[in-house]
Amino acid sequence: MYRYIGKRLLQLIPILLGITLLSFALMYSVTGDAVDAFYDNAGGEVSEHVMEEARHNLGLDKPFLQQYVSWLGHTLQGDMGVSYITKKPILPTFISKLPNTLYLTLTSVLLTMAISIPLGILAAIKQNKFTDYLIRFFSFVGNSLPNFFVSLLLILFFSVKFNLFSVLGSGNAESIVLPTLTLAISMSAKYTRQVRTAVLEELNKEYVVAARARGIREYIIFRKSVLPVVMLTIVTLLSLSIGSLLGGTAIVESIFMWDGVGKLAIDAIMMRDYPCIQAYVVWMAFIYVFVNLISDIFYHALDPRIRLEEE
Amino acid sequence: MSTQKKLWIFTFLTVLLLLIAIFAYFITPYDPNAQNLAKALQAPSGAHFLGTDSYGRDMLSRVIAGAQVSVLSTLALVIIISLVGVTIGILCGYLGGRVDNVIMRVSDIFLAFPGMVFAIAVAGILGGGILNAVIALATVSWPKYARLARSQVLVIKESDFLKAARLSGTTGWKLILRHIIPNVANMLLVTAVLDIGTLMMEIAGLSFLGLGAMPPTAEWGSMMSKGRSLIQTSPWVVLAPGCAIFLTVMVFNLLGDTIRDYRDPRQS
Repeated sequence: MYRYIGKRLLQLIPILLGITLLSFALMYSVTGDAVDAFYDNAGGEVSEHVMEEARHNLGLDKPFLQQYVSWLGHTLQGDMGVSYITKKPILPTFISKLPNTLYLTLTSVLLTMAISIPLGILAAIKQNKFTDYLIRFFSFVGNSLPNFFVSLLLILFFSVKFNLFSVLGSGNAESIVLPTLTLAISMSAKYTRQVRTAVLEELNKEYVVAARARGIREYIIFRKSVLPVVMLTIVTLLSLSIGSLLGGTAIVESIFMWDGVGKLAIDAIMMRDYPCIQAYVVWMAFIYVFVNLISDIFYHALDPRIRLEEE
Repeated sequence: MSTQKKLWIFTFLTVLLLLIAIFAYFITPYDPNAQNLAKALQAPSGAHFLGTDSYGRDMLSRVIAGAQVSVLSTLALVIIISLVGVTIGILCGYLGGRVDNVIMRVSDIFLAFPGMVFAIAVAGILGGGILNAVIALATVSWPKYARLARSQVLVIKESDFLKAARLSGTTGWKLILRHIIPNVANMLLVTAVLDIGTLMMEIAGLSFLGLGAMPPTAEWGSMMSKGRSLIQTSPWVVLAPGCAIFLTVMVFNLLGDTIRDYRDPRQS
């Protein structure tokens, strides 16, 4: 097990380097010149001489790779530059908002599981009955709704009609309800379907039929055999969709004014605050990669077939 | 209902949508960009079936005009990523060796980014505009198609029919054009149709964030974004484009599911 984790960590190194290189290249290609952008935002005329000197001081007159290496060095030391807008270091700002986003991600993942696992199992057990059709219908509808439309519908129905929750700001505890619901509705639609398929597949396997034939109670078969397999499906799905979830939080956070990194990034994009966008992309990719690593390790621990194959 | 019948129905609906998108400006009851402040924010009525927005523009006309931007840009996106992805995938699978290795490592890196996050950043950096939104999503989405095509090519390469074709002297481009591409395209068609709905929602999402179509262009995502502050008083300015996205995505999803069932009845 430890050897496996060690191996996976080593494999991450080129990927992480690639992520930083691509993010750096992305900013380099458009801004090319942070000094221009910096003084553009500062307003007023700045003499060419001052800009040249600033460029030299920042090392912007050096070749691309050299700039990348020095940027990477700073990044590794926790220095992701200074925001063009607030003129404050980016990393502390970013880290202070990160818990809000992770909190939102966590609550929506939990809610998604609470909705989709029981509904998926129910639909599978009642296959081709009314309940199944109803659940499949809702999951299909949910799959065709963009999450920003879901948020607006929720705002319309909850905040306007019932005046139940405050929509704006993340000050109080209720304000997480609507963003969480939005993300969970979109994801549950997808998962319910997948859980249903996974359960059906498992229920049709020969060992289940054999267990039934031997008179083992349906409930026992379910808990001992089917459920672990479904958990495996869920872990895979979660790791696959954490990417779209992180992107989804950006839209949902900016609609509900949830003070997380997604909103920070969208605001940064509107103000062309490049270092901030860069920090967002690099961090999100890192989180994504590590979540995938953790899910692989889970997978490894849960499924003896994979474990034995690798060892 | 038989799969065959469903296929006809959803194909018909899709063609209908495409016709609306292509001929949008010929069928709008009003000029979608004509402002008339005296008629601002009217509720749906006989004259304005879906009401009017804050500039007094007819919502129905704007929703129809929005179909053109949304549907055509999504189709352009799907075509771009399948062409680019499939070309790269086939070359990698067919050539193998160092080219394959390098390109697949690059695609690994692209896949390491959470898709929408990267798309938002790319679109944000390129600046607004529907074309930039399409470019941003294409940048993010090609590796999936490249990987799928590559894995197909690897299977086809080992198949008996390809070996037979080789033995009878078929080589190079002819082998790719006549034997590999048709088989890969076959499989990728389903993936591409199934992706249309998601990609359409992503384009609309970028527009919603102000990173896609720019006002005054009628586009569903940006219409919803502009209308969201009015949702309490005039919900139709959000509901009309919202339902348009929902229904369109649903038609494409139904078509995709049906094509999949039709091709591979085992999965249904």
